[in-house]
Amino acid sequence: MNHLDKLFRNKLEHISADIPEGAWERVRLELPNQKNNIKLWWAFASVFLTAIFVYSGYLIFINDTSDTFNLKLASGKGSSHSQYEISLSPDSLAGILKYVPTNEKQEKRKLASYETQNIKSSYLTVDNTKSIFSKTPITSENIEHWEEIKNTNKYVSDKENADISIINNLITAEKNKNTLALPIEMSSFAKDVPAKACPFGSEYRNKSVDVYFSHDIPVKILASDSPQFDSYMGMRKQTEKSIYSFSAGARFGFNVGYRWNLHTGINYSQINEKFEYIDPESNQTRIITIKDYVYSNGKIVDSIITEEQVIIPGTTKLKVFNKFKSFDIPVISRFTVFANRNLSLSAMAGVYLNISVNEKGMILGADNITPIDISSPPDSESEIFKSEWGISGFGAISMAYHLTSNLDFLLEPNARFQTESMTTETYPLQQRYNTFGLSTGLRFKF
Amino acid sequence: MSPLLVNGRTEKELIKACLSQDRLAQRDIFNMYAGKMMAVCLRYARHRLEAEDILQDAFVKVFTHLSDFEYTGSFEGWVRRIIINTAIKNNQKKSFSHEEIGLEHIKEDSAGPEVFSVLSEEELIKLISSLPDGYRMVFNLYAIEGFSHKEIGELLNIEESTSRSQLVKARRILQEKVHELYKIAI
Repeated sequence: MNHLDKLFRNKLEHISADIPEGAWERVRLELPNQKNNIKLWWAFASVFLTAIFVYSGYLIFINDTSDTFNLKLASGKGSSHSQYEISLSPDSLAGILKYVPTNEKQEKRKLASYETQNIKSSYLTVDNTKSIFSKTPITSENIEHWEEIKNTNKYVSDKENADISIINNLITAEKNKNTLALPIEMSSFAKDVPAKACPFGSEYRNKSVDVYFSHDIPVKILASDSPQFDSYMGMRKQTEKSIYSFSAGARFGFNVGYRWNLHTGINYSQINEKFEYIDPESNQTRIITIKDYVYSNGKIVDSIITEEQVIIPGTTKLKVFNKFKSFDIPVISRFTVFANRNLSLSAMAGVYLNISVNEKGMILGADNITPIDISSPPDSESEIFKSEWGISGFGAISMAYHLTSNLDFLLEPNARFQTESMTTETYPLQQRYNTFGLSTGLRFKF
Repeated sequence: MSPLLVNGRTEKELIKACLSQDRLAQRDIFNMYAGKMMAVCLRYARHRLEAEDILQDAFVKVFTHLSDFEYTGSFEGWVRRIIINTAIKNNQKKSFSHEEIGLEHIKEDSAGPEVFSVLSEEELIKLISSLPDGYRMVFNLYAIEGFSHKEIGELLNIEESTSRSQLVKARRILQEKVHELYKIAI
């Protein structure tokens, strides 16, 4: 390497030049698409949703229908000690607890046992030597059998009478299990008794505030009154693709009757779509620099630099992300279909009243060739979209999981249907969006 | 020394994110190196538009072949190598006839190195860009990138001796051009 090489290297090896304008955009257009995180998200959401539904099903159809408690009864002492189990419904259990408060110490132990075992079983000690209990559980089907036992056996001692009293109570409880009320001293267990735990909120919580975020999939509907625009409609469908969208908002709810609630608030929705258009015959304008050398006797004596604008046939690729942002006032009624100590299930229906809308992006113009900017505020002459979209119909299944006594986690598969076209009458196509989403949120009850 | 952070991420974190086609990370990597690489492209190209094309093609390769980067050397060096390879391939694809200038056309009374030292980087790049394609490639690869003639021969698919002779011719043309400029200036 000679001195000349070193000079060039030292001066040029680490220098920077100006980055050409739009260079990154050109590179970006050539790159493969981003990994679809949305798919991953939806996979996760599906798993989560499935888990919620399975758990809900367990709570609704398994836990509740077989919510019988095994009451263990012990009789005798030492070698004569024996245990029996009696299956009881929750209400029967509540009835038993009402009638069998022995003494404070025993009651505490019993309550602790219920708490730790989640009321799945309890241990009730009956201090008698002549037990009349058999392994036959007391149920509505065999109440007569137990009444016969009660009536045919003669017991004289107080302890034996205690046995009779318990049987009486068990029978009474089983007979009246649908109407028995919890005694006041058992109110601490109210939340643990499913049938009485969640009386649809109407009695205790008649106001609520929901905050939510919904992951939406928009479905665009384009229609034309005239067949002459079918080709244009086809090109629009081809160049525009709906992508992940979302909505979020807050709504106030108040109880208007048994199981009925009314909600209203503010909702923001953003419908996103991708506009991709390739014009294979578009020309590109480029500026080229030309340097002419002036020679005299074979030597360069001067140079002239000129710039020329040249048109190069080429391809134009456009990739624009369109956004349709809207603010709406939801007016929704909610009917509670089911509720228990863990969750409630409601059906929701109502309308969204649009108050403002804003568009941003590009679509193919009606000439089927030129991409046009739809960004608001629109040019009055090329106005395509209305400034408000009117009324949308809304429906949802709302699942509320009770996190605490006044806080619910919400999961709502929902759908929203636009009733009016988003486009003006001067535009040849009618356009509507229906969105299907999964909303998650929190409900504060007060 | 703590690693250089770009928007809160180190170069290694950005590279990992680029592998997941994270556009923001790709843009950050592009912005980190595009300036330096554009200067490289300008040396290998005949004019700025060609340099821009090389830069674009090369960065697309950088991002699409990023999984091949093995962290054994500097990332900048890896990117630079892709830029150089892209420039070489771009030059080989040209359909126009190869320019040949014989040594007999070059004057012996050319400018000395001291004249070059007063020229700006931009002027030096313009001088290199004005070299015939083959000479320009060899001069860039040998004088600035530091490749040996054997490596240049393999890269350009030419004989080692051809690389040597083209380097000599490139140097003389550069000296001649500077000499002419120098004479015009005075």
